[in-house]
Amino acid sequence: MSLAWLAPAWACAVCGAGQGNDQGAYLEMSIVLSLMPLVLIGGVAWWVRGQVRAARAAAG
Amino acid sequence: MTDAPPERDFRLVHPAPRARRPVVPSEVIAMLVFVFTEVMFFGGLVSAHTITRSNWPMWPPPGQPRLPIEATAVNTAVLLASAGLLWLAGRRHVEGRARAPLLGAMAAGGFFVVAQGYEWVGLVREGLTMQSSTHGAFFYLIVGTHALHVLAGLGVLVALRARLAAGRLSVDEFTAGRIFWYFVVVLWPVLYWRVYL
Amino acid sequence: MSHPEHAHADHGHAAHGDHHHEMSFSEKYLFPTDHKYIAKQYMLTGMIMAVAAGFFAYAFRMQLAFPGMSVPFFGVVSPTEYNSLVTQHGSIMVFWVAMPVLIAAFGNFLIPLMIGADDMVFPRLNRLSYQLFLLSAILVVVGWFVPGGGFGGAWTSYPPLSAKAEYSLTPAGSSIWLAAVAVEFAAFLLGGINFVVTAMNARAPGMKWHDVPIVVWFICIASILFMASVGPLIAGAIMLLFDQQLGTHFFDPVAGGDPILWQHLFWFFGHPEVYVVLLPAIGICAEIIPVFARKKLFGYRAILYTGIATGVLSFFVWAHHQFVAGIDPRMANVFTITTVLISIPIAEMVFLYIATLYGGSIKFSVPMLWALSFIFCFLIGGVTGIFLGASGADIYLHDTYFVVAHFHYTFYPIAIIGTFAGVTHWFPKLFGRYMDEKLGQIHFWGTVLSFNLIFIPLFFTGLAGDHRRIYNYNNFAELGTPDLQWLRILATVALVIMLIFQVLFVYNFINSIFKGKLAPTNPWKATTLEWTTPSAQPGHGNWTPETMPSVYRGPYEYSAPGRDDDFHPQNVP
Repeated sequence: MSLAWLAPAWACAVCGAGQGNDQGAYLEMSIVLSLMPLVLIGGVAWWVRGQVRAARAAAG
Repeated sequence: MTDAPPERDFRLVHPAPRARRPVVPSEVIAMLVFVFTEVMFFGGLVSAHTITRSNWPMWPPPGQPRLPIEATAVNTAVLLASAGLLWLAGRRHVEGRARAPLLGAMAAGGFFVVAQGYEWVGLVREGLTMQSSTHGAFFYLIVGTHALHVLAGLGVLVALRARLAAGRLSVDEFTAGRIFWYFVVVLWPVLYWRVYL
Repeated sequence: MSHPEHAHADHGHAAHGDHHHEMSFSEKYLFPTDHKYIAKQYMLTGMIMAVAAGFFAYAFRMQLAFPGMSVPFFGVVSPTEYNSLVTQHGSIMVFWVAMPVLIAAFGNFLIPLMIGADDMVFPRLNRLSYQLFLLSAILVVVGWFVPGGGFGGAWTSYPPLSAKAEYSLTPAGSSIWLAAVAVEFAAFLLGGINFVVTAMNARAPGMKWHDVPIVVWFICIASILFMASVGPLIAGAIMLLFDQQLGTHFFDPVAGGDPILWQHLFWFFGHPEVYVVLLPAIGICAEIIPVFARKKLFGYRAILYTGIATGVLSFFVWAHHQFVAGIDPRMANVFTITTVLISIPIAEMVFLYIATLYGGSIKFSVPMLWALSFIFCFLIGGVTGIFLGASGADIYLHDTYFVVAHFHYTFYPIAIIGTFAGVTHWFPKLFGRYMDEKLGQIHFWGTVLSFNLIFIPLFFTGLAGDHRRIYNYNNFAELGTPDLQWLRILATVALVIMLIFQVLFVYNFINSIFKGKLAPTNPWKATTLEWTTPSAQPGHGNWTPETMPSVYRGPYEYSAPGRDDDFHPQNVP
């Protein structure tokens, strides 16, 4: 990840052309939107596992 | 297929061989998955809103009517109360005493919609419309979409009430319906925070 | 052993009650709740849309190969029409061909059968899903005939082109397209809920999660992936619709909006979407290969976990579509790393399939040919994707035909080869008859060879600088050279040949439904549960009480040592 921050990246001719004030917002919202599905699915999966375990314990 | 009895066996042939009892009821999983998609949808709206407003030097942009933060705070409390009443209804369903809190939840939800509508009319009269600014556009889009979901949720509550009155409301169906209402209610403070404050 | 159908009818009278009434034509074919019939409805609709989208491709490729000349069966292609044709071809192939056939048709057909259930858990919701989907397809068709014609802003629909009528020149078509896409999303959302709930709750006794066939797992994972990623795009689509119709400025930079925001929302969905369609297709290959190699699938859990890993990773790569949109180059670096990383799980799946083949007793039946060609062609697509995933190389290659060739080498195996593999493999179960093997072989070779001849030239024209979405390359001095034009003509001729070969498939398909050789219950001697049921009547479930399966082992027990037979079905004790 440290490679990601090297200065030579700025040599790219078409990168960073649209330097708006929203760079930070894009980054934050990207992280939020990417993590949300994982958290939600993970949460539901964890809860279902708990239910299955409880049912198995009650039955067996 | 006629109305299914509360305990469902998915085999169409009867007598059915020894079937697996689902550990997590189907209605509940279905509603959870649906709500999950809706959460992502509202996440998209909120993230669009966040990105757009970070582009503006000042937000809300000058010259736009002030949003009714205090009145809506009261409304938010009413909506949260309706979720509490519905939770109570869920607890009492097994004993058969769910009718009163369910009706209370419906009333509180209805009050929320009417009060919000009243605020809207006031805002439009003051000049905040979808076209007046991006601020107005996002306000009506996000709050309006939530309002549509509240209306749908009220529809769900009405359907639950009808089945309850007919004596055919299974525990799983009630849980699924409650999940949707909880989603609509718990989502609102997040939207309030992002849009109004 | 009495005939299952006979016992079925007997039991029907006694036990079925209202299930045994004779179903009318409209109950059976127009408004079925039976998952097998709904699957066929999806398949038929998807195939018809594929014919339309293929025709559009023919029209615009003829324009590119012979600019300005009247295209047979179409007429002269105007610049606006060119944009419409390209847009409609892309959108229809992704949303109205790949998704309905791979996910909805095969998912609906296979999931209940393979897990030993009589139908989906919510049959009427299933019917509603198809009806919504049909409505979306009708909307697409309507869009072709409104004033201005079908939407022409590319399937990615970037504003301001797609937001303002004076740019897109398709004021009505733009909004109709958005509405069609939104309705189609709703249909797949409802369908996906059905798949997940059914796979979780309606499995046959004894079927644990690691006894479930890979294709069922992958269709469910694809559905979850779809539902997780579609939300932000629906948000963006509503905003775009409002920009088009209500005069808002969500994406208008002049009034404080941001066009990059659309790209961000679109590609957040757009990238997981390609894995949504990939997983079912690769799952179909996972079913076919063990059957025709008579060998157990190598690494069931590894394949499953890599499928899940692919799904998870697919959420972190989307900005590779925006490398030259002016994003922060440090973000671009991060997305390069994630994009290159995601090739690893797919490569691993390919290795596992090859490991399954190794030492197997391979029969080159038509389904097997399709499955093997899937691996071969998809590999080329994946490898060329690595060039594009590197942000440095992408600066040159973005928006060239190199990209077009890359995604056709991935999408075509997914949507077309995957479909042919699945249809030829499960045809005996769908219709109770065999397809003609000889015709199938000729169709296979004709299709795959001509497919490669279409897109290999396009890699080279892309490297030479051919930009996408150009109506006539003669307008560019450095691109209008005879050498490049010959490559374009070659690609177009190959397309025409490929389309002609599809006539063979259509004939084979239709003829075999009515006059094909009757097939037994388990013609390929496979182990999974769908091969234990006779061709069932709609609405009457899939099994009789006596034949209702219980599961005793995993889904790929072939050539187990110590057994007489080279396969050990799941439902045999």
